[in-house]
Amino acid sequence: MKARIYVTALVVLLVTACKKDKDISADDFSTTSYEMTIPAGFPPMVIPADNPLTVEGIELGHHLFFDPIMSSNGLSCSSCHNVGKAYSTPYRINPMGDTVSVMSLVNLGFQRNFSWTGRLHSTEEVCMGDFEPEFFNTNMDTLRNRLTREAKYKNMFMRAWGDNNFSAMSDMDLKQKIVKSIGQYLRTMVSYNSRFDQFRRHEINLSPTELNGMAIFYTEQGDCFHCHDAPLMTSTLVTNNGLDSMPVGYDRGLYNFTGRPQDDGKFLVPTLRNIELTAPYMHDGRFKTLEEVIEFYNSGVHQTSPNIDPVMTKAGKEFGLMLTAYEKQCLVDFLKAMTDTSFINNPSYQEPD
Amino acid sequence: MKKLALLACIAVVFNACKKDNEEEPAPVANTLNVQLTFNHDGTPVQFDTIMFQQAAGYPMSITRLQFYISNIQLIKEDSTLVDISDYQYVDAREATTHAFKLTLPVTGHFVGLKLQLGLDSAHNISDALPALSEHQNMAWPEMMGGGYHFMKFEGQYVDSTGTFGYAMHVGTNPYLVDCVIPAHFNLTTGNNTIGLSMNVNEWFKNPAIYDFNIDGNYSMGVMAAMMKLKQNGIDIFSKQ
Repeated sequence: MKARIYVTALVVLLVTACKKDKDISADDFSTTSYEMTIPAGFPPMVIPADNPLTVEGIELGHHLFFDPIMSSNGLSCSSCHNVGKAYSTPYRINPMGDTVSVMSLVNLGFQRNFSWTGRLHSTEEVCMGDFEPEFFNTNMDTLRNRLTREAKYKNMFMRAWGDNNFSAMSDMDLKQKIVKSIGQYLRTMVSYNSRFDQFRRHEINLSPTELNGMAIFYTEQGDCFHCHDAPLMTSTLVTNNGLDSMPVGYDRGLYNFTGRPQDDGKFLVPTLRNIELTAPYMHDGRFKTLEEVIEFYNSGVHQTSPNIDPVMTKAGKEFGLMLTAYEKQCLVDFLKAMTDTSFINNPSYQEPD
Repeated sequence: MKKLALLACIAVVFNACKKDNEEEPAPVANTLNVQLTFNHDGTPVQFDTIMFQQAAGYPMSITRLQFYISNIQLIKEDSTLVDISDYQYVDAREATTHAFKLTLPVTGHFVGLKLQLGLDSAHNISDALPALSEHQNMAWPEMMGGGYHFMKFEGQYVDSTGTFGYAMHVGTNPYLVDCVIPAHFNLTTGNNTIGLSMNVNEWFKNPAIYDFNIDGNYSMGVMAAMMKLKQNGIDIFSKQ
């Protein structure tokens, strides 16, 4: 599997390298379909009908992802989705002054809900928000000028979209081409090779403490599996995990967008893939370490939080999971087995030359 | 005029010959469209609002209702059974899962339906179902027996001390729920439609009252709780 992805990346490079040497006009515009390899046991990838994966679109999205060219404040996508942090970042402050923990980017092509409140339903929809003042504060005229000046982007836009006449593109057209390209690139970021994945494929065994942690994770003792099910390690649904007895402000989650009482305190269940690398934790980064997270589930869940997920209120666990110090350490060890170093180090997901 | 008559005659003969040589059209399969609805003692289910009276007396809401239906069988008048389905995933919150079309191998008069709520042992094996998110979200951990949740039925209930969650999760082979739906109906050639309605409160009564504060507000892995739900589940469906 790993070899196949590297080979695919190589093909992408070769195809695009060959095309770079000649000027491409709209007349001979054609794209190369990108054949996505879905790891065994993964659900079908959700690819919008109007944005199929192409080698050229992915290449453009890859370059744009790491480039501050779209922003008026020096930010790029990679500023907040940092490679070394599994494409997350510890904190950002939103316009309301709330501390927000930036979600990691992994296996997004398999998700149906996005952002901490799960109210967005495609990577394109997420990326479209990045032009706003809260993020890139994009000046579209400046962006057009920058793109026009860069031969690299003139060629890449022509190859990906058959159009590089930026001055003639409407704001929405240009934004659509950009978010579709980045959306394609994000869908190629597939993680399937953590030690836990290898264990599930019967390729390796886990350590005794990792196995103990898995037993806690996958039984009623810890009951983590209901929300963090394999292979994505997230249900990709929104829920209230009892963080606050009475959520206020940003902590009200989806309620802030729907106004529906039943959405109070609900946030998207984040993936546990690469969770070791994405501290701090929860939507507001309130927990600095995995140990703090587990202690929350062990003894800190607010059982009276409105709309708390029913699986969090099991009778007999009113006082928490009652895990011993050793059991908590085993759970941490198991969570760290979900780190996928081959994903983090994959050159296809690093800053391009 | 004579020429025209001759031409018409030739055309008639030609077409007649042609018809004899045409293959018989493939017989159109008879089908049964199953349409599911959900009620609480007759009141259509609405989600997320504490508006129902649970059989043990608690005001309750419903936040999630997901399950599998397997092995739908028609009961003929001589009590023999006709198999008409494999398995179907149903999410009561997702209207697209409420209707499904089955091929009907026989037509005639029937005196009822049988079905199982859950997955039979041939399908209730971890990762046996297609790798789709809806199935993966129903996984029942290997360490607890493997396979899939047969049902997730969740919400909140109120007692004299406060509001609490309940999670009626049923799974593992011994707790596959056998449902019987007595009803006389005819199925004819062509397309047929049958409506089945689940009375969710039947999970909590007949033959035994299920009390969240006595039997447990969380059933997964609790054999006595799952057995009571299985026994109550026999009459959860009725024909509409």
